[in-house]
Amino acid sequence: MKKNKNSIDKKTAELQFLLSISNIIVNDLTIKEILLSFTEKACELCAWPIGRVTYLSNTTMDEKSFYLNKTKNTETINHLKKQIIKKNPISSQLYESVIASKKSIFGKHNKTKTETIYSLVIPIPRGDTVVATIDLFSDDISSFEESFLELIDGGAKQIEGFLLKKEAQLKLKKSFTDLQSTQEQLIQSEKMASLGTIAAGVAHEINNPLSFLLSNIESLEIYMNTFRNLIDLYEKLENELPKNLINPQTQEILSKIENTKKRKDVKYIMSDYENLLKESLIGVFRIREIVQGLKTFSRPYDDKLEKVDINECIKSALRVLSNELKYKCTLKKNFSKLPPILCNPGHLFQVFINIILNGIQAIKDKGNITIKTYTQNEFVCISITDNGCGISQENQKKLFMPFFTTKPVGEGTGLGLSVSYGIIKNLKGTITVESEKDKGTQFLIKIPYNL
Amino acid sequence: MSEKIFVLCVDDEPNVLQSYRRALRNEPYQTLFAKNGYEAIEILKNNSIQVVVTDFRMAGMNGIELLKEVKKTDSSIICAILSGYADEKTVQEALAAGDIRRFLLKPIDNDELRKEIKELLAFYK
Repeated sequence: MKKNKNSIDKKTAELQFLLSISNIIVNDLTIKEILLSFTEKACELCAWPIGRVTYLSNTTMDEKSFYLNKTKNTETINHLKKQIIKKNPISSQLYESVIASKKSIFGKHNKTKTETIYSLVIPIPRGDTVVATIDLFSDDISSFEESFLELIDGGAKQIEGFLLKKEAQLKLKKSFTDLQSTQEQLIQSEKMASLGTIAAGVAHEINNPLSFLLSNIESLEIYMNTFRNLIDLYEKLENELPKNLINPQTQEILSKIENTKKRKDVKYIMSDYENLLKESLIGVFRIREIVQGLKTFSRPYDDKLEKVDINECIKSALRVLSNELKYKCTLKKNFSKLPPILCNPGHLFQVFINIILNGIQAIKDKGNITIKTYTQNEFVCISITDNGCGISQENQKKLFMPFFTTKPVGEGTGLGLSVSYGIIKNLKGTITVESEKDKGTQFLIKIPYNL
Repeated sequence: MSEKIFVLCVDDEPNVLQSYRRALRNEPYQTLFAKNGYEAIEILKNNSIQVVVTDFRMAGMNGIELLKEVKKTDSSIICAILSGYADEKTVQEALAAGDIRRFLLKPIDNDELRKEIKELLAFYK
């Protein structure tokens, strides 16, 4: 009768185990969570206190690798865990047999004369390989049955099917995100390309009127200076005109002169016209700068290619910006030796000026600019980080759009980053930004060096 | 009596020509103006021009085509292009196509323009 009851308990446990495995599969869990759940169920089936998941691709352990069976004695659990962490009782040969046979293997390890640790190593298969093992440990095997092994291996097989499905799902999800970002990039480069064509036309159309505007303002300045000299001389004449030469006619003219001077505020005009012309010229030069920016933006950059050492290029940009840097920023440089990049050094220089200057301007009082260079998968990587005011999510999206600027009118053309984008894109590279409001911004430029 | 020095400026934008006229008013040479390539060729026939400065993009005959004609008329004339927009390729083509001494870009300031023409004249023998 007792035997019967035991056998009923056993059957119930087995049934519960099978049921709980299908429950794992129904839940929307990550791969890690699935394996840990499976560990839990296996521990419960055997009534063992502790289990552990080991990925064969990554053997580092953390707290999340362990399952502790709370229905068991806490002291026993802690003692076992300590022992396992101190030295894994399972030998590498045992693991190898498990992996080779793809079947769970029970083990017995004598720690001391009085202390024995039992283990059960469960392989989690995937196709021809084993992706992980689940190791269960106990100091007591009174409720353990040989028949559990087959049951557990059956469960592991179910888990395998689930893992495969999960991986396929993840792959699909990744392809989808990749597709989305490719599409976004495509749209972006499409926009840039059409803008490039427009920019070329606009640059040409603006330069013609700009040409005579500049020339004429300069000519006007010369004309005005002539008038000023003339007026000075007339005034001298006015003051030194002998009384006997003043007759009613000349008196009338003199009064008219006096009147006009007062009415039209000639004194002010004469003191102001030089500034007026100077300011107009500043306007012209500013337009010229914008148009030049547009030209760089619209032009393919296949001219004047040289083998460029990016580190040197950054250093010369830093030299140019030293004035801007010295009062506000602590500069941290971490340069690695880099392979040369075939490009136009002037253009790359412009990119670094643009991005570093943006970083400096993002810092209000004092801050850090960190520049790192390194290589990764045939790419030269340049990371430029500031701990300034950061860029809002919304603005990050528009960052590389031409004419987008957060600076006051006249202080930024909004072309710097879009031009930089074009230059890096032309080198088949990428330029990305990560930013958090009030924390800072990181620009990451990647340029392939084996083209 | 020393022979008069003539500089010919060609541009299809009248305002540009006017601005040159003002900028070059007091220079020690005579400046003539043409608003397209055909007019320029007519002027060349009747005057002994030493330097031609022309726009690049013009309706009918562009700057490079004009300068080829100029060279045919008198190969000793010094030629320059002053253009509003040019990509690197256009500049290279222009320089390869003919004996062009300068490829200048608009906008150019008056001092620069006078200096460039002075230097171009120095090439003329």
